[in-house]
Amino acid sequence: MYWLPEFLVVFLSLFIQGIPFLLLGSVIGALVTAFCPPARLAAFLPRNRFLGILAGLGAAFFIPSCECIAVPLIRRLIGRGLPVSFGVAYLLASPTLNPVCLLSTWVAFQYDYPLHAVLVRAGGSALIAGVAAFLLTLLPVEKLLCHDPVEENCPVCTPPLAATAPLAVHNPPSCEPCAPPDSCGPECHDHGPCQPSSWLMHRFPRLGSAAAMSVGDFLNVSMYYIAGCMAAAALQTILPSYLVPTNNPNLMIPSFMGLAVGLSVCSSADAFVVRAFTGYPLACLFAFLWMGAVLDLKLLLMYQTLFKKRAVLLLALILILSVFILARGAASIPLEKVFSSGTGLSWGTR
Amino acid sequence: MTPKSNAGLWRNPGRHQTPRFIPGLTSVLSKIRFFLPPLILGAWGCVLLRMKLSGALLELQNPAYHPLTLGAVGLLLLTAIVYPFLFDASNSQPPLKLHKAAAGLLLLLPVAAWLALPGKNANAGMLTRRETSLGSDLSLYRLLKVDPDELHDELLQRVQSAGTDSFINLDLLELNRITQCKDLQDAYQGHHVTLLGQWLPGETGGEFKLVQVIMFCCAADARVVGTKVMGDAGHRAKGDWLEVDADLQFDEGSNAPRLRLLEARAQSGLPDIDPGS
Repeated sequence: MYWLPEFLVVFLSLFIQGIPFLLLGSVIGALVTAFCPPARLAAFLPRNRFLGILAGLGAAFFIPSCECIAVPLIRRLIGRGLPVSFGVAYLLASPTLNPVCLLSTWVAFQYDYPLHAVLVRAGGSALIAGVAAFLLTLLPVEKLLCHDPVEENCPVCTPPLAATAPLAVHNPPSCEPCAPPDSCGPECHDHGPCQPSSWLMHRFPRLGSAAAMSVGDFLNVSMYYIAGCMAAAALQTILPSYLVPTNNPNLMIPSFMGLAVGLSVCSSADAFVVRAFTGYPLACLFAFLWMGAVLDLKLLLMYQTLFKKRAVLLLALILILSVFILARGAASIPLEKVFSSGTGLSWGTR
Repeated sequence: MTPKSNAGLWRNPGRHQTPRFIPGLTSVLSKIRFFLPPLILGAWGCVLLRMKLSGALLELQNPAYHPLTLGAVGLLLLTAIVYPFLFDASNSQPPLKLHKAAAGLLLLLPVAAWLALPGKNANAGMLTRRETSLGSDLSLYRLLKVDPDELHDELLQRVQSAGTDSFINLDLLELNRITQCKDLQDAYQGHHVTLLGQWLPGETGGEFKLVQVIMFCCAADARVVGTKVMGDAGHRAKGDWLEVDADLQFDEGSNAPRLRLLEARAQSGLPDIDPGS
């Protein structure tokens, strides 16, 4: 147990470093959802596929939501007539392109190359999201989208950790409150009319529902974050380093992609987790960041609430291939040298 | 509910009902579950606040981020207080499922980790594993956004303004910079210096190591810089903070610093220094 003190220190430090950003992401996402229902935007969005994808990528910058919030949100909006191309592009881009994620990436790489890191992460993610959205929307809608809405918990009615829906653990109670609780009707929720549950909900319905949503989102996302912190701490202190190959990019990049899928860390804080992997090439770290935001274990389950199983498999294949190709391309460029303006100071060689 | 068979005893009779083995138990469990999230949030807030107040946070996170952490503490505690006003505890609670209970336990892990953390010198475990050698790592300065040239000029000015017998305060990163430059080595040769760092045992009994953790972000990306000091500072625990007065010389061949101990003073608790920012 000689490793235990160091493990605890690394685990706690990662947890402490990411918590403010998880909180910020949950609060902003809930406020936006409660006060500016994106459903109203649907009427103004282009139906053309290309324009829809571009609009989706653009919206990702302005409507902050991490991946856990984006899936149920987009599911509801597509159900109400949101253009599919816009929805899919937003779904895949918003975890990375939202301001909270970009800010956390900046902070995590503050002493390295903050601007370069943010630009490469955002650019790569936009490219991957655009390509995947384009390819996926080539499928006919009836082969792409799930017909049966899966019952999910309303954040306004149901306290966190009390969810009953089958996907509750994977699908945080972050469904869009289509209206303040006092004006909810049976059409708003799959489970029937909303029951305003507290004094705060009665007095300040929008603020109350935003607060309830942010608490639920925060706790649900924190579970995955804590699991990710533990895995990262274990990798640093317990597991032998030969588990991640260090000399062959063709093996290192898939290793980091697999790690991102397995850890399922929220995009609001994954930059801190990956920053802990000192000594690996930047291309591997970006492969982790690009992959984790669009595909991980929890997302694989959550996507099935929106897409049909075959479409989810196709999406996973597209994402894996596009991230690998992009990261492999990045690995052929000495990113560290480019970022540090040719000073030769290397952070990423082991 | 009266179960018709043993199998039925464990069968959930409805989505929002649990078998009532003991009268009132369901209600108690429901209340516990209702208050679990605010308890977790409140516990996180209290743990972070306690770490900040005790100085333990300095060993885990670069002080530049402490305001962010304090903001999170405020929000966590506020949420824990407001929580009972957000939801109604009297609403019927669905039965607790195993994965939800596991999730609740997972959320308590940071509190458990804090409780298991050694009260003193929590980062002592990483000191020996992450120690880097002096005089070779220019990237440290780039990562810390310290201009090596500016630091060079400042160090030169400091030694020129110091008297022959006076002690010059240095930190281990500054000693690292002196080791990299021949003119600084010449200027500091034979001077008395005062260094602050954490104690580690040396390879032989007549020496020890003085080290300091440099955090760029948090302890996960920490590196350790250090130097050997010739002399006996007494028996200490790994990671104890020491203020050391020493005579500084440099090896002719290797340019490595040779510090001869004059006096060592123990620092009670974590000194108010800014590791890595």
